[in-house]
Amino acid sequence: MAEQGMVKSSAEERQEAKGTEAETKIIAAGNRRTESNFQTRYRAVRKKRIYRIPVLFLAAALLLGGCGASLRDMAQGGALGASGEGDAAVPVTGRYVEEELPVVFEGFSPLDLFPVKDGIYLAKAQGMDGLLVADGDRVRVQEMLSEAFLPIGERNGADRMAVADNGARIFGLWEDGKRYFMTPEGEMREWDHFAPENYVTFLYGRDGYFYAASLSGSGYGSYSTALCRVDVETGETEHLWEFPEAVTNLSVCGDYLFAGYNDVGEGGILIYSISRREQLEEDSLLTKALKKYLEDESNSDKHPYLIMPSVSGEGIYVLTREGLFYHVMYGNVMEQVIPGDLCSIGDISRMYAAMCVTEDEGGGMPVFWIAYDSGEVVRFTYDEEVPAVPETLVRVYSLQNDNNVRQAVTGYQARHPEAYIQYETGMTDEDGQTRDDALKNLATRIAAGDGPDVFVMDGLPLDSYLEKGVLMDLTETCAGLMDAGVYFENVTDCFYREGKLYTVPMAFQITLLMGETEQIEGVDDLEDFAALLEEMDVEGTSRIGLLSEERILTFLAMVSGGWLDEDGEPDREALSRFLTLCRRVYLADGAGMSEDALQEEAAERLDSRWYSRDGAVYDFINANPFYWKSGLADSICYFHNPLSMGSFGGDTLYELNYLLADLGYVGMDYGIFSDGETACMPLSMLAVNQATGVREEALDFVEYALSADFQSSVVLKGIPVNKGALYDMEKANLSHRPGNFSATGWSFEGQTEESVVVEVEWASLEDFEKLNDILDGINQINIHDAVVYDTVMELGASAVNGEKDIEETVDAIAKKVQLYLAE
Amino acid sequence: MRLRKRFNCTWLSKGMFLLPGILGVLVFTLIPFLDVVKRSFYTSLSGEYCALDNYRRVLQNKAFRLALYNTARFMGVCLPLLLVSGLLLAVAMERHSFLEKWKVLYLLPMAMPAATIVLVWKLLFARQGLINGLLGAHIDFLQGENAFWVLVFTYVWRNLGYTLVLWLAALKAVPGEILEAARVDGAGEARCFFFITLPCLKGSCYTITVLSLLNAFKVFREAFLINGPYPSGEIYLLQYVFHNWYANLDFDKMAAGAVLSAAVTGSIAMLLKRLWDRREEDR
Repeated sequence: MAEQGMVKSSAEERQEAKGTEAETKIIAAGNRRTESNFQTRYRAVRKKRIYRIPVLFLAAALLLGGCGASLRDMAQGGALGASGEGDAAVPVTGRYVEEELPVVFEGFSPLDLFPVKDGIYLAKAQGMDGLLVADGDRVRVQEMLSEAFLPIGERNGADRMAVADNGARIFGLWEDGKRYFMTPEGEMREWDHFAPENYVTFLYGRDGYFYAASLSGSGYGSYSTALCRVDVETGETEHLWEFPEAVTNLSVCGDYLFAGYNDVGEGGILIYSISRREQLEEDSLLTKALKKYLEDESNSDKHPYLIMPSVSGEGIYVLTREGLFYHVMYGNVMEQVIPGDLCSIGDISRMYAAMCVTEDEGGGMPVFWIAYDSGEVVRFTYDEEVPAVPETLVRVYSLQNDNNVRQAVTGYQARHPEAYIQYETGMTDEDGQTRDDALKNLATRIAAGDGPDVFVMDGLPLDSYLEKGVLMDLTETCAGLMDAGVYFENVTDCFYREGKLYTVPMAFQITLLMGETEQIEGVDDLEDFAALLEEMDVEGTSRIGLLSEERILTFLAMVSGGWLDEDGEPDREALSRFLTLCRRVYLADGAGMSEDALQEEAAERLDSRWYSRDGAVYDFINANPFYWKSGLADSICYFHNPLSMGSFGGDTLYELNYLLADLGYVGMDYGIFSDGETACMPLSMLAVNQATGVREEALDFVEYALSADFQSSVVLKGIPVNKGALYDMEKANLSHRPGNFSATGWSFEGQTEESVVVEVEWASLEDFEKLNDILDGINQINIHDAVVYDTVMELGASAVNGEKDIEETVDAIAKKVQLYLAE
Repeated sequence: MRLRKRFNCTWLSKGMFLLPGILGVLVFTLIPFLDVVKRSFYTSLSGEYCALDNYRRVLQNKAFRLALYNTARFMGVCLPLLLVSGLLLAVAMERHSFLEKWKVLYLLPMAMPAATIVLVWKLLFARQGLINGLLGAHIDFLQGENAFWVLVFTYVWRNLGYTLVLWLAALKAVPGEILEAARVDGAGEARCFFFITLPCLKGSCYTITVLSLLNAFKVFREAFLINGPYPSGEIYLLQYVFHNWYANLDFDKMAAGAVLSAAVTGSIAMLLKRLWDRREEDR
């Protein structure tokens, strides 16, 4: 600082000297006016300021230039912070890398993971346990079946179980609804500390005790949770305390007990000292970090977050989708150990079942073991050789969040630690951007040569991008797979443009119509459908529950399209036919119902949020915990609709089981809903940017996302486009679990006070054959141009409800669409 | 020597004052515009030279021609309406001081965010809106020809206050002694207005016209928020074409269209200026 001051002073002196020199010259030129010292100094300062301006500009330019390196540059530099260094930068190395471990007894969900003397004990449902043993760099797995527990496990009888490292177990039994404690020696003792009707969860605290939490209450806001602990050696039970909240997740870290609760959206983490039996003050940083995850939490074996003690015991590890964090209690830092977006931790399709941490054998960084609810177990070890930030950046862009793509990103990331797959969405819930804003931003990026490497074309102007040559031809990439008949060729063939393939969907959906067999059998197009509704004689309810003009337009558009003719002009005839049929459906659906009854049913359906998903009346939802609220259940049990319809293709096979069970219960059948041609709706259409700088990696990512390996290992939204993946899953389902069935039920207290319990069996070979035949019969894809579609939806409503004449509406639509096409 | 020094010093200081402005215009307007001119001769993303092909495509483009027509029609209706109504109101305000106290009220529409206006407009003009409710009708004011007049109304309503203030400033600059002398000579109010006030306002009229012309382009925000990127054909203005071309990566057409529009707008502004200058000289 002193030196700077000296420099400054001398610079000022120089400026002053220059000022004096200037003054002297003025005098020498005959100017008798002299300047005061103040004026001289002022001139000098002013001059200095003038010089400062370009200096400031230069500094700003250097700063901007220095900081302006893209993430790609950073990635190429080897580490964040290596901006502008290019090849000369020394890459920073060292990062956790993951390894998927072999598992035993596939299909049984993991319950817990904890270190034991010989390795890591992997407790699984029904006692189908395993031991993970480190063997050099690899991990092998051993079966760990408990002789004493085997009879229960074989008959699939246990519910809610925790296992201790001494072999003791605590669990409930399906058969008698009672709970039992099994000693390490295998002796079964009834454990009746809580009332049988109470919902109880068990946890092994790794401190010699099982912890049992019992949820009781009778409505919102009046839940409480009683907690007790059970000695794993003796089974002795001790009541600890009562939580005033509905606790959904318990974690024990040494003397700390963390209880996550979610009370009507108000979640939090309660912290207790077990030894002192008292509640401690809130750790605000921890609560803040987990608050959003508590909303997804329910009393089950799968969790959106986990808390584990560290090896040293000084801090805790917190696992969320954002990554693995280290946190010292009541500290003000959550230190990220493993970033979620670089590995499977960030996979939104999976929840966490258990986690443990062990010390590295070489005394290095700790090793993390994580079990997912989907059955996978992964190990994270620290690799000093791997670059801290992956060297290659592949940017994947979709207009809206796409879980199919997100899963592919995570899966690819886990297999390719050398690459960083950055998933970007144009429209998020937070930024409030419209489709239009997002498209403009994307256009700016593409124009600047900074476009994403992989596009998800859903909602993007496909024709325009093709015309401008933005997309790369994927024909070669997909040729091998096409020739081998790996994909649903009847679907992928529809994407060829002049013999070239620019985009391929990851999955597709079909629309199903459900009703009595003889009714739905003859429905081949929208005319038949409208006629069926018109002929039906129903009292007190609508025929299919579509009711509103917007819903009718949306649902019928799922199977009908082709509003442009071969010349790319609006097809007035097709538009007129579509609107006329929508009008007929509108009139027929609620025929015979009073205005009040219609409005009541419509309002109740609008209240049902599950109806709004993807615009489907009967939309199966991936792993939907509220299945009993599904559209079909409502349509049949609540409104007694004789028909139901909706898109099919979430967790396809799981949905098929439920669909068959529901339809079997009400004596109905299903068939594909089509309009002449059998159309499907493509989902997650992948394309590669022609100008990508990481061509190989981008193509590799697309290939991975379409591979059977990936598509059969995740829950895609939609039917996988990889036929092999679907068939593999069908095979796996046919020999799924011992007993080859599962059962679930729902109770329903609605208008009819009806209670329904449905036994869900696994789909049979015949069921799969029927589904496969339907899928093989698809001969059209239904991709609506966003502008044309929006115009029909916007203007068509008034024709459907009769406010406007159909021809007048067709004219208005055609006029608007022509404008768009003329551009 | 001394004179030269003073000359240099004066020009240097003037230059320094002008420099930021010139730099701004250069960096943010002129250079980008030159880039646009260059791009208008090349294809959009492949960057191949295509001579006047983009201009030909733009001029043959139906959407562009419609937008050009609509824009010209909109300007033709709005500008005279705004200028005349603004002037009349300003004259009335100048004569009745109690009206001037409410001047600020006329400026309020300018301060209102576009999103708020859109919300109010939807409440007012929708098929089930307030106006239809009052009239007991089901007229769709936001579609077809009605939409054009709603847009005209929006423009005039929003810009009237600003134009009014400009006219008021111009009226205050009319020399009072000339008016006084005319009145002494027996001229009536109408003659004073047409033969003294109006000729004195000619200088300001050019500025107000150009500013109103520029403001007319800003009405696009409201139109876009109400109707989205594809409105009724009657209010499909040039901005819509540019907006949609941009989103669809038609940068080449957009560049050619922008050059053509700039040429037309620039020509109109220069023509107006020339007309004004000639009249000034004639006087």
